[in-house]
Amino acid sequence: MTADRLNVKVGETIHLRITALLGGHISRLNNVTLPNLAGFDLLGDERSCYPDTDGGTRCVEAISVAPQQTGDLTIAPATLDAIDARTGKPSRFATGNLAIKVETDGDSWLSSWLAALSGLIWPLLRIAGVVALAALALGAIAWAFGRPRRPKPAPPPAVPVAEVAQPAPLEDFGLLIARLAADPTRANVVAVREALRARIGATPDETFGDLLARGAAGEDRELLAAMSAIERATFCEIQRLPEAIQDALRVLHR
Amino acid sequence: MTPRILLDALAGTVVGQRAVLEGILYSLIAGGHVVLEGPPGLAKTLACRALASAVGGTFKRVQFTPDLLPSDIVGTRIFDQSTGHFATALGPIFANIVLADEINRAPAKVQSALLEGMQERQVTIGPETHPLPDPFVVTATMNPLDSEGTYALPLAQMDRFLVKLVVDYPPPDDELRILERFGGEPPEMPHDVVTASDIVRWRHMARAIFIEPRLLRYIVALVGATRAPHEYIDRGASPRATLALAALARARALTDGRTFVVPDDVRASAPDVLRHRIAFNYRTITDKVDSEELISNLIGSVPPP
Repeated sequence: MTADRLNVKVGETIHLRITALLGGHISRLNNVTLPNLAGFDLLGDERSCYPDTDGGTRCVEAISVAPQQTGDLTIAPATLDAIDARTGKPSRFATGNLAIKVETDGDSWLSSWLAALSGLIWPLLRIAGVVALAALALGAIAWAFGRPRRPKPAPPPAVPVAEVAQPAPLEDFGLLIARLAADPTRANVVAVREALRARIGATPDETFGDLLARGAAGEDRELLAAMSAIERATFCEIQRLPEAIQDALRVLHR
Repeated sequence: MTPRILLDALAGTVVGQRAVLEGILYSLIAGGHVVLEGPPGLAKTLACRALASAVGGTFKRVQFTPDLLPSDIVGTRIFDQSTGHFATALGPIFANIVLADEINRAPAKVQSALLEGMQERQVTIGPETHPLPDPFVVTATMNPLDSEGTYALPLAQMDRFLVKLVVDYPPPDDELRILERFGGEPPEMPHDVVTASDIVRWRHMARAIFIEPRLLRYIVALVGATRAPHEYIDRGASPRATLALAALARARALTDGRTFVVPDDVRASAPDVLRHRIAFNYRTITDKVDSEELISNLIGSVPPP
């Protein structure tokens, strides 16, 4: 990391330049963490990468800043996360610190007078701010303890990711089939499917293919046929739904 | 004539790699292009050759190198001294199946020339616009091992490929069969198993495959899951991925002989559609996170209907 000047006055622009030389062709560099620029106004930055003469890539981050306070300011290192070509391992590369000496505009007696005045006013303002904050905090504590207490809201119940649905009792399952026969709609097919899945212990993340793969129906060919027919009725075209439901009901009634 | 016949014919030439052959077939039906990623020597070229031969179409292979020019792909205009006019020499992109071998070895302008043809299905050379043949499928290969001297395809260009298929080393049993089958004579290619008009017909049939509204929401939720804030993901998949996922699920249903999509079609298609459309950040490398496992977890986080 370099700067075009190391001695500046407050408000003057300095151009910082961070250069990274990388192996291989890279169109952009996203892994640079810029330094903390406390005490500076960030005026703009620009990132560019172009092929280097040795076959690698040269990436340059140009930053324009203006100091806002006087004294010896230090810019912390910029860091880059990359694979170290020598070891092949991910590493963090860092630039050095950069010390900038910032002076007031000494030509003007007014500016030095203002600087002296601000040096006097700022501590007073800080003290006033601390007192005001303390008063606010005391007021908030008094208000919190003074108001009537309400019971804490109960935490929301934890929802397991793949909870196994409780199987519907047989009479309920029969009821669902009867309802499907009386009212052959997709919604009733879905209800029967959910009940059937619950009966064989299917988790919410298991598809029909998963159930087949783990042999959820065991040796029961009728159950397998029922699962297949219900699956078809759940996802088939609306024109074929009545026929699919009748097929499913035939298997379920067996 | 069903897609299953073509799949069986391809499996007769290429030993194992069933998932890759299925992925190529589904992309062919869905009208998309394919990226095959895998080390050399895993029958990527053989699979593409077998597909072209089985479809009875034309096949061209282009080896992408750093000095390749766009005109080497699309063609150029040549001055004919005998007639005194310019004649157009069409490039290798004018074929039913085009194998772009090691696509990331050529610079961006060459990649763009190919990708423009893939998107527009036509190529302009000088003042003339030439339509590309139908069906037109580009199968591009990339070697994940040698990244030195390569030009990575930007995410926007990768998005043009319908699927990215990962070609892995075969299990020992398959490798033994490869040794038995290819030890002597060159592999026998399936010839004219289906025609180009069969492919066009399958595409029409696939577009008519029904997707139930809850499944449509599942597709949207799956792609949306890649856009949720994640410590390893910078940018998720685009709506083009949503369309691709629906198209691939339809192709899978058609090949399975169904007229409707089921949740298994969607979930099984999701990794191939999503893996090249998600921008993983640097931490996947530093933390040694397997991106395939990440995608699998993302897909698993969305319960199917």
